[in-house]
Amino acid sequence: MMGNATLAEIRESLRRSLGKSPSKTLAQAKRKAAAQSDKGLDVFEALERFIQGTPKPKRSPKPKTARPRRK
Amino acid sequence: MPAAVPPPLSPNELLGRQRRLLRVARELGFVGRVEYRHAYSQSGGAQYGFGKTTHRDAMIAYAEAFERDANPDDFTLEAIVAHECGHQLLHRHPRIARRVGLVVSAAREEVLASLLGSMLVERASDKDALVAKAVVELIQRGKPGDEALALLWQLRLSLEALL
Repeated sequence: MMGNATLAEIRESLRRSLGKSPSKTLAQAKRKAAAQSDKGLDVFEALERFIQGTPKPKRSPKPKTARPRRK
Repeated sequence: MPAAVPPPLSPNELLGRQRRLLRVARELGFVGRVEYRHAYSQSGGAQYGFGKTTHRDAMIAYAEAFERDANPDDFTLEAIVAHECGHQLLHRHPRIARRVGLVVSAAREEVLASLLGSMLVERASDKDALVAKAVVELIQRGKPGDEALALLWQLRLSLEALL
């Protein structure tokens, strides 16, 4: 189940839980992880982007195709 | 309080939702029945149903999934469906199911489903949202922020190795 929290609520909860400077906490966690392996580090980058709040892209409307002309 | 029943849809709109849902589910690799129900579920938008076999698994999406998709500050349909595909992978992927699928707690299953979902989606914003959902679930279960981040990363590494 997805749960009902919106992105804004998740973002707020994340900011609250990662201390005064969420970016610093994330950078620290990434450094610790990188010392063990260089894999999977993109989760920290994903969280950083999420906290910064990149807006969701709008769905582009379906291109309308012209009806073929009657002969 | 939200309405108990979603606003009615024309047959074409209904068909459009069914088609889009099916397309997204198949693109993300879901195997089994995919169904749209024009009702509110209180489930967040979609549910995964474990069947006798993979082909008898089901994904049911509800009106909330499309309403959330239309809200710029909420999950897209792709992210919602990817999370449910994550549940299916947990139960059906030969290596993942053997390692974690059968013994995982309901709470941990939600975290793993989101993490797996984040590995399925193409759009970066969907990936980011699902990773954030996973870490917030860990935090809500009582993990301090730094521990939740470390655990999230370890879970991600394990899943990457199993997929």
